[in-house]
Amino acid sequence: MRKQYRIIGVLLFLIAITFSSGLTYSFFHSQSTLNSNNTNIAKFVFNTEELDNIELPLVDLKPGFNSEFLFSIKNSLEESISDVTLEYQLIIKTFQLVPLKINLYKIEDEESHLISTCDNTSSRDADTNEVICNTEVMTLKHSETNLDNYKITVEFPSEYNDEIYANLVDYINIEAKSWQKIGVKENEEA
Amino acid sequence: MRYRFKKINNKNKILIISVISILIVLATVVFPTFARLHNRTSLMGVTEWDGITVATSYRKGNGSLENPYVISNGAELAFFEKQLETKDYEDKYFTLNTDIIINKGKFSYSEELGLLYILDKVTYYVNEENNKYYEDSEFKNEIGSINIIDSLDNFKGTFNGNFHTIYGFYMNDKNKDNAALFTNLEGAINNLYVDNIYVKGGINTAGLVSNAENTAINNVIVNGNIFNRNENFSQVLSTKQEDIELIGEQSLNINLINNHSISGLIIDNQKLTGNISVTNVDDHDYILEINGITYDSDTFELELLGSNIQINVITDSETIKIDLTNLNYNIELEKATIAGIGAHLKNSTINNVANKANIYGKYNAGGLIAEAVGEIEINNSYNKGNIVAENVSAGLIATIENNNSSLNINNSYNTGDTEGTYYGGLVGIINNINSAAINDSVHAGANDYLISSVINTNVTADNTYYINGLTPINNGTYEGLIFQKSLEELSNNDYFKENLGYNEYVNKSDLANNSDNLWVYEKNELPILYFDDISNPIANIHAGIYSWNNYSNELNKKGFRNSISFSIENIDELNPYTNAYYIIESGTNINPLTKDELLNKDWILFDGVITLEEESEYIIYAKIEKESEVQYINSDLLVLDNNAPIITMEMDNNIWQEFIEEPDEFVLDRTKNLTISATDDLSGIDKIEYYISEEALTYTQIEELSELNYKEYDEPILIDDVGKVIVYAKTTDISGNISYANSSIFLLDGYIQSDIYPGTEKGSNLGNYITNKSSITIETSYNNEGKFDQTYSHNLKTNVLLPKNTKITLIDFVLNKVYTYVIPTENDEYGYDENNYATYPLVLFNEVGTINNQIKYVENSYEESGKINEEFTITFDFSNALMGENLLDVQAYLEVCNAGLNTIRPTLYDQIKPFNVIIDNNDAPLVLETDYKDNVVELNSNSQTKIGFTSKLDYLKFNENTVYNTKYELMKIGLGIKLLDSDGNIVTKDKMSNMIFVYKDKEYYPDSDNIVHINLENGISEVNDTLTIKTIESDINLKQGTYYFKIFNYIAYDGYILENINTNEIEIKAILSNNKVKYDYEFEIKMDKADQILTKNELFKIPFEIKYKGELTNPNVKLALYKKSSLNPINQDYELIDLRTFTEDELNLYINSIYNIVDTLEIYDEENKKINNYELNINTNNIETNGYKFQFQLYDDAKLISTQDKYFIVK
Repeated sequence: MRKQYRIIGVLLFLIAITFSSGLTYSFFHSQSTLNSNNTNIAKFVFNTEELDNIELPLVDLKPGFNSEFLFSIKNSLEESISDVTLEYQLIIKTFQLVPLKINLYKIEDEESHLISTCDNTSSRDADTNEVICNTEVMTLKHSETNLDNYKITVEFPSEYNDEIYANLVDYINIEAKSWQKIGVKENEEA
Repeated sequence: MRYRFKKINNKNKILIISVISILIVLATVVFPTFARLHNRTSLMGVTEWDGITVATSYRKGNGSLENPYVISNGAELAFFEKQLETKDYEDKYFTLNTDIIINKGKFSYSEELGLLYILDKVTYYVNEENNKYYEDSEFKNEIGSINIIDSLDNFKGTFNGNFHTIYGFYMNDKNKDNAALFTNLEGAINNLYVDNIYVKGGINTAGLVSNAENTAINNVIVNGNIFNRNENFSQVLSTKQEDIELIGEQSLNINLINNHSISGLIIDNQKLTGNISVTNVDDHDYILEINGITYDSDTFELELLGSNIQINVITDSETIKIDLTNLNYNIELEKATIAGIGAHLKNSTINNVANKANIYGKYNAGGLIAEAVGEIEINNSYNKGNIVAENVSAGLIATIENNNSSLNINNSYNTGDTEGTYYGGLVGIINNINSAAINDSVHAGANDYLISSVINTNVTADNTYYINGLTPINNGTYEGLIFQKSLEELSNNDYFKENLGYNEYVNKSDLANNSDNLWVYEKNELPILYFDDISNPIANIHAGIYSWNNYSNELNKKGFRNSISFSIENIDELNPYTNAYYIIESGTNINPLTKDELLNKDWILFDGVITLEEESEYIIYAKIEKESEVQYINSDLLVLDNNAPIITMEMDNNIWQEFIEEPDEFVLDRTKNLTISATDDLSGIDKIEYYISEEALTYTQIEELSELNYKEYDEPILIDDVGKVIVYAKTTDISGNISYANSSIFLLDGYIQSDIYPGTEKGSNLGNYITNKSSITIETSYNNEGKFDQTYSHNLKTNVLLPKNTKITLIDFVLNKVYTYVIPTENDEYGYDENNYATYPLVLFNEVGTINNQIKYVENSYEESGKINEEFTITFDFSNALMGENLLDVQAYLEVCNAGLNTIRPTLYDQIKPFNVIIDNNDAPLVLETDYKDNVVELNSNSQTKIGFTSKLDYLKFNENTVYNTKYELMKIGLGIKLLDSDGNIVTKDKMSNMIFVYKDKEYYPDSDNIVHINLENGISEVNDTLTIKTIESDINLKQGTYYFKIFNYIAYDGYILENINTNEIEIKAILSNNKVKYDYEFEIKMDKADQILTKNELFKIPFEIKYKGELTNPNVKLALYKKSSLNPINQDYELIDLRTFTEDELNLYINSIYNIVDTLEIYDEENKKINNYELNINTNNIETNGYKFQFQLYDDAKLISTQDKYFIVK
C-alpha cells in the first residue's frame, strides 16, 4: 500500500505569469496543465517539468497510513532563466478532520530539513475551516538555474487504533506564492 | 294667628327675607368678630383661601380611621375637590383640623340690592354673571373676585369636620343642576358647621348636599342663603314597570307605578314606552290595544292622561303570547328641590342637625330635606330658616312619597316660617308610603299645620306639638297625640324639659356616656344643640380676636402675647344691659369657677377696657344685669405668654436647638431618624412643623417661607435620600410665639454595594455563605459629586480581622487596573483591637501585571467633569487562608478617610452586604438522583425509556443556608452513560449502534471511549431534567444476557472530558433476550473517490453502487446524511442532518431525516452480477465546509440489519 502511494517523481509548480498566482493541486484532481509561456511583465519564469497526475488521495485513510511526496521549485523554463531574483512561500492547507501529521522538509545536500509542521495544533481559518500552515519566504536567485527540493510527509499515527478512524477522508493542498524581490537590481546579486 | 306671609307676592317675599337677613348680618358685623359660640373657636385667626392655590397633598394622613386625611386650609380642600374627580374615597376618612375660610366676607342678598359682599365692614356689590364684586351697584369699579370651589362630588367616605367651620361657600353656576357643598354623596358627614353659604342652583340645590343615598349626617349646622335659579326646570321622571305577559284573548287594567315625588306639581306630559313581541301566532289574527290604540310594532310610545292603562288582546288563538317589556312610565314636569341640608335624600339618617339658612325654592323646599325617599330618620334636629317655595314648603321635609318609603321623626322641631301652596311646619306632603311616625317634636313656626297633606299613609304621632291653626294636618288623618300649645308655654324651659324630655347637656364627658344629653336651654327659648350658637346673648366679653357671650366651664386655651386687653360690650345697642361687672381669675393651672362660686364673688364694676400685662393664665368673668335678668359670661382660659418655645432636634444623641444660617456638614452612612420636640412653659405648644431644604436658608428666608411649604411634625423624620438635606423646624406656641431651629447639613452619601456573589462570576445569585476554600466578590461603586483632596485615602475596612493568607483582589474598572493584597500576618496590624474594625489602606495593594507586582496602588480622586466615579469589585479568596473558626456576618466596605482617619465618604450602611465563611475542608460532592424505578430496557426493541434525574453539587448547609464551594465555579457538570455487561465490562460503541441517548432534544452517542458524554449546559447549577434512552429493534452484535446502563455525572471545564467523576451512579438494567439469528448477507457500497471531496457552491451528481447478497426477506436500503460534530480530528462524532436540505431530488422520507432510496434490492450473484445503482444530486450551496458521511442502512422490512458509512468532505 505504501508503494502504491509513494511518488518517485518530482512535483514541479509552474507559476503563472501574474505575480501571485499559484496553482493549487489537490490530489484528487488531475493535475492541470501548465502554460508553458510565462513571458509577461516581470519576465520571471519558473521552470516546469510536467508531472502528470501526481495524486495522493486521502480517501479510506486508516491509522498507520504513512506517505511522502517530493517536489521542486525551479526558476528556469527550458532554457530560459528568470532574470530577476524571486521570492516564494509555500502554503499548506488541509482540513485536518483526521489526526494526520503533515511535515514539510527542504532537501539540501541530501539532507532533509524540517521547515514546517501542520497538525491539529495549527491555526484554522474561521471561514473555510481549513488548517493553514505557511513556510518562511524562500529566495530563488536569478541568472543561474536554481532548484529547491522539498519533501512532504503525511502520517496517520497508529495509536488511533479504533474503528471510528477507519475509512476517513481528508485532503492536502499545497500552494506557492511568488514575487520579485524588491531592492535587487537586475544582474546584481540579491 | 295665621301668618300673613302667604298673601304677599313672591317679589316682596324675597325682599322681606332679604331685609331680615341684612339686619341680622349688620347686627353681627359691627363687632370685630363673631360671637363666641358653644365650643366654637373664632374664625379670625384663620387665613382665607386665595381662590387659586390647589395643594398637592393633604396635610397628612392615609385615609384610615386611625390616621385620616387631614385638610388644614382652603388649598387642601380644593385638592380634595380635584381628587374627587377620579376617586370616591370609599371607606376612607377625612377630617378638618381647622376652620376653612373660602370667602371671609359675609354674603347678603336682597331683591333690590342683589347679592352683597360685606368685607371688613365695607359693603360691595356682587355681579352674579362674573362672580366679581364691585364698589358700586353698576359694577364699574371692580374690587375683587369671589372665591369659588366646586362641589365635593361623589364622595363615599366619612367626612369629620371636628366641629370646625367651612365658611363662605359660594356656588352660582347656571350650568349646574346639582348645587351644594357635597353632590352625589354616599358617605357620612359629621361634626361640621357650614356657615355663610350662598348657593344658587338648579334641579337639586342645598346648603350641605344636593343628592345623597345611604347617608348619615350627624352634628351639622348650616347657615346662609340658598336659592333656585329663576328658570323652568323641566324633567322627565321615569319609573320602570314590570313586564306584562298576555296569553290568548284578554283584557287587563293596570295602574302604573310612579316612584317619584310629584305631588302638587303640574304634569306636562305622561307617556308609557316599551317593546312588544308576539309569539305562537300560528296563522291566527290578533289585535293588541292599549288605551284603545292598536299596536303591532316592536316598540311603542303611548301618551297618557293618567297612570291607568287598559290593555285588550282580541284573538281566536288560545296560545298566542304577547310580551310587553322594557316598560317605562315617564312623567314630564317641571320640578326642582331645594333644602338646607339635603335636597334629595334616599335611605338616610339625620341626627343632631340644624338648618338656619333661608331657602327660596322654585317648587319644593324643605329646611332639612326637600324630597325624601326610602327609609328616612330624623332625630334631635331642627330648622330655624324661613322656607319659601311655589309648590311645597316645610320646616323639616317637603315631600316623602311612594317607593316603599318610611319616615321617623323624633325630638325635632321647626321655628321657621314656611310659605308655599302646600306648607307644613314639619312635613309638607306624605303620600303613599309604608309608615310615618313623629314623636316628641314641635312645630313652633308661625304657619298653621304640622303637616300639610297625608295621603294613603298611616301616620302616627306621639307627644308632638304645634302652636297655630285649628288642626295639625291640613289634609289627611293621623293616629296618636298632637297637642296645640302656645309659643310661650313651649318656650318655658321647665315645661319643655318636663313634657318633651329633651335632655340637658352637661359636658363632653357626660355626653360620651349619655348621647341624648344634647340640649342647651336658654331662657324663653326652645333648646338648641349643645354645639349651636346661643340665641339671645346680651353682651360679649372681647379680648383680642375672641369674644364670648355665655358661661361655660369647658374652657379652651387661648394664647396672647404682649398683653391682654378686654372689654364688655352690648350686643343689642337698642336694648343695652344695665350694668356690667367683672372679676379676673389668674395664676397657673387655674380651674373655671362654678356658677355657685360666681355668686359669692366680689364683682368690680366695668367702666372701660382693662389691660393685663403680666405673663399668667387668666379667666375673665362678667356679670351682666339687664332689667331683672342677670347673666354670667366668661372667657376661655387666656394665657399671656411672651416667650418663644424651645425646639430640640435630635439624632443619635446629637442635638440642634438653634437657627444657624451656615450649618456645618454631618456625614451619615445610613438612614437615620431625626426627632423634633418643643417645650413651652406657659401657653404650651400649638404645633411643630418642619421643612426640608437642600440649601441653607437665611433667617429672613425662613420667616418668609409660605405655610404651605411646611409639613406638620407627627413622627420622626427619616433621612433616607442620598444627598444633602437640612431640616428646618418651626414651632408655634398657643400664644403665637414662634421659634426656628435647623439641623446641620445631613450628608447621606457613600459607596453603594450593588452585588455580592460566591466566586468571581456575577449572576450566580447563590447567596453569601461560602466555604473556607472559596472566594466571594463584592461589587461596590460611587458616582456622585463627592470630594477628594490629596490628604484623603481609600481604605478597605472589615469588621473582622481577616485571617493570614486571605487574598484580596481589587479590580478598578475606571482605571482598568487589578490589585492584590495577601494578608501577611496573623497579628493585628490593622487597628482591629482598637477600633473594632480592621483597616486595609489600598496603598498596601500591589498592582497586578507590573514587574514583580511591586507597584502599589496610587491614590486617585477619580474625578471627571465635576463628578467622582469609582467602580470596583473586591474578591476575598480564603482558599489558602489560615482559618481557625467560622467568620460570620463579615462586613467589608470601602471608605475614603482624611489624614486624621475620619470618614469622609463611607459605604452606605444599608448597602453593606455581609458574607459568611464556614470551615469545610471537603469539596462539595456531586449528587445524582433519579425517580426511575425498575423498568428494564429491552435492548433490541423499539423503546424509549425516560429517566428523570437530579444532578447537583451537594453543598454544605449552615443553619439552613447553603454554603457554596467555588472550587468548581467555572466548570460544567456533564452526564456520562456507559453500558456494562454482567461481568462489568464496558460494551463498545459499535455494539450500541441501535441505542440513542436524548437530552433536551439532542441525540448523543458513545464517544471513542465508549461512553456517552452529555454537557448539561447549566454550569454547575442544579439540573432537574430527563434523559431518554431510545433503542431501535435490530440485530445487534451483542450476546443475549443482562446489561446495565451506568449513568454518572462529572465536572469538567468543557462539560465533556470526564473529570471529577461522581462514583455515585444510576443503574438501569437492560436485557438482550430476543437476539435474532445473524443473517448471512453481504452489503457493500461503492462510491467514487473523486466524489469524496466536493467543493462548495457546486452541483454534484454522485452515483452509488449498492451490492447486496443474502437471504433477507425484503431487503431495502435507506439513506441518511451526517455531519461531523466537531472539527477536532480526535472527535469523530457525527450528527444527523436532513439530506433534503442539500438536494432537489424527490426523497421518500422513512423517519426522522432517514429516506427510503431502494425499496427492494436486487440480489447479486456471480451469474447476473446485479448491482443496485443509486444516484444522488447534491447542491453544496448551503452546506458548510466540513466532513460528512452518507449512511446507507440495510433493512429487512422494517428491521435495521446493518449500516455502511461513506465519508466525504466539502471544502
